[in-house]
Amino acid sequence: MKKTGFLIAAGLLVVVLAVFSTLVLRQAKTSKAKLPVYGEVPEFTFTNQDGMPFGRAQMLGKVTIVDFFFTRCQSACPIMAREMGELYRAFEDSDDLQFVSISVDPGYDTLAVLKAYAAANGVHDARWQFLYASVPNVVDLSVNGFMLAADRLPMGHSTKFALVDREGRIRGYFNALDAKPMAIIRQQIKQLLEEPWSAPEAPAESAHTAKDQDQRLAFK
Amino acid sequence: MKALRKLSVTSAVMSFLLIFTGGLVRVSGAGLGCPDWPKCFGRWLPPISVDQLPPGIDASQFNLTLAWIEYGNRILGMVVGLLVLATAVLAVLQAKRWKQIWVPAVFAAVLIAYIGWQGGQVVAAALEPLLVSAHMIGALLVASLVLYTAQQAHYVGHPEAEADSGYPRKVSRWIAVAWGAALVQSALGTQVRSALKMLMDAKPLAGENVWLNAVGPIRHVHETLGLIVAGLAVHIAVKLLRRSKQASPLVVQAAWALGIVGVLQFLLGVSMLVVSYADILKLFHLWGASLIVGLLLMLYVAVRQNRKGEA
Repeated sequence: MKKTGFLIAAGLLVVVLAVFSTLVLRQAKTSKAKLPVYGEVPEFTFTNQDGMPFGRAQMLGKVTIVDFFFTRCQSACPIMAREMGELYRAFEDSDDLQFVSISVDPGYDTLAVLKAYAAANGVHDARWQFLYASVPNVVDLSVNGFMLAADRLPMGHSTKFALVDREGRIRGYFNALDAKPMAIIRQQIKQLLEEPWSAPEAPAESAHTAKDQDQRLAFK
Repeated sequence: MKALRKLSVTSAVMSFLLIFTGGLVRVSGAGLGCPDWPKCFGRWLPPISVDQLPPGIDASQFNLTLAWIEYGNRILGMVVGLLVLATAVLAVLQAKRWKQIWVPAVFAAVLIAYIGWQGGQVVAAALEPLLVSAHMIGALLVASLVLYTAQQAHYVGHPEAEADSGYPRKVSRWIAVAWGAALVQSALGTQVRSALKMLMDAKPLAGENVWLNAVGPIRHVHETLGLIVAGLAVHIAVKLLRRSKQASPLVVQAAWALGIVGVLQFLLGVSMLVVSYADILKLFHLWGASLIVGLLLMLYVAVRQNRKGEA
């Protein structure tokens, strides 16, 4: 009798734990699927390391990770480039994810310098773009577009990666210098890659432009 | 002594529950639900909305559900820590004559304090796999020590409990072998998980089958040893239930539990191999392994107690 009572109690405990954990796991999964929207990436068109225009139009339809950097930077940028490089290599199977690094030091970071920096970081395709623009435009995009600080450039750029969805909406920020955000960025990238999306009003043109851009770069 | 028995049993049960909630944190991906420690987003109680985040805290990593799953484990850890501490204090006060009671109890209290602090290191190191494994094994050690304390307190209160049990010869050897194998199996499990984590980071889009195939031979060793441990668990349970002269109620219950958990672990393993690596299966697989370790320890101590009585 005592034995039966013990086994029934233990069985009941297991059932309760199974129901409880199923609910918790389901809720956790749902919560991870709901990434917040922090804002829209505004219209902009800068120049990439190959001298081609690159802006919001080339971001639509793809998940994009954006950061601000400069090639002479010796403190945060090497870590940011390493983290970005790891993601670039980890997601090499997907053409739906791209990386965009925007220089905050255009006086030094000419297109040739950016191209050499890309090569030094093992960039071999169009998935990682390095952009050039004038300082006022870069500051405007950083502060007003991505809501990332840009004081006393080039040193005062943000060390965060901004995660942008296929519709050009900012969905997450990750401090590249902190291991914790970098430990969860992969999962959130996957989440956005799997997220259903509706093409913008002029999808054919935007997608076409981006595709052409990729092809042009591929032939270079 | 009765109070100590009750308290130590409660501590032991709660310690194994803590292993369950720890597993829940891991499989739900809530390990970084609170990016700081011991507070959560700078608060002693996790925020229930973004508006409650203190200024200067990065709001982009806030996920209400994950924060509360992680913090729930911390709260339970605190409760279990206090229970284990109370058990140790009571053991020192009431069972000074019995080293076999107060030594493991004190050791468990020191260890759980360390494990609690080490949980903060796990978060600080962004869930470094080795630290996660050490955290889990530490919790299993605490649970085992408290279980041992509870059982010894039971025998001091009931010295005749195993006097006429007459357990089959050599069964303690089988239990020791199974216990060692179960510990090795747990360590292998943590290695498989570490390898999977590295593969998932390196190729996040590859998919479960690719990651599992890439884990290498350690995965097959883990599967084979898992079969052996489950088989041994059932074998030991049957042997104790069928061949003992008069097994004590404690051993009858533990043997039944071991047999059932052994069979369920086998079924869980097969389901994970054949059907899917669903999170809920992973969670019970991990917990089942810790229960097997605890039950084997309990049976070993009972059989030794019987041998002592015979001698």
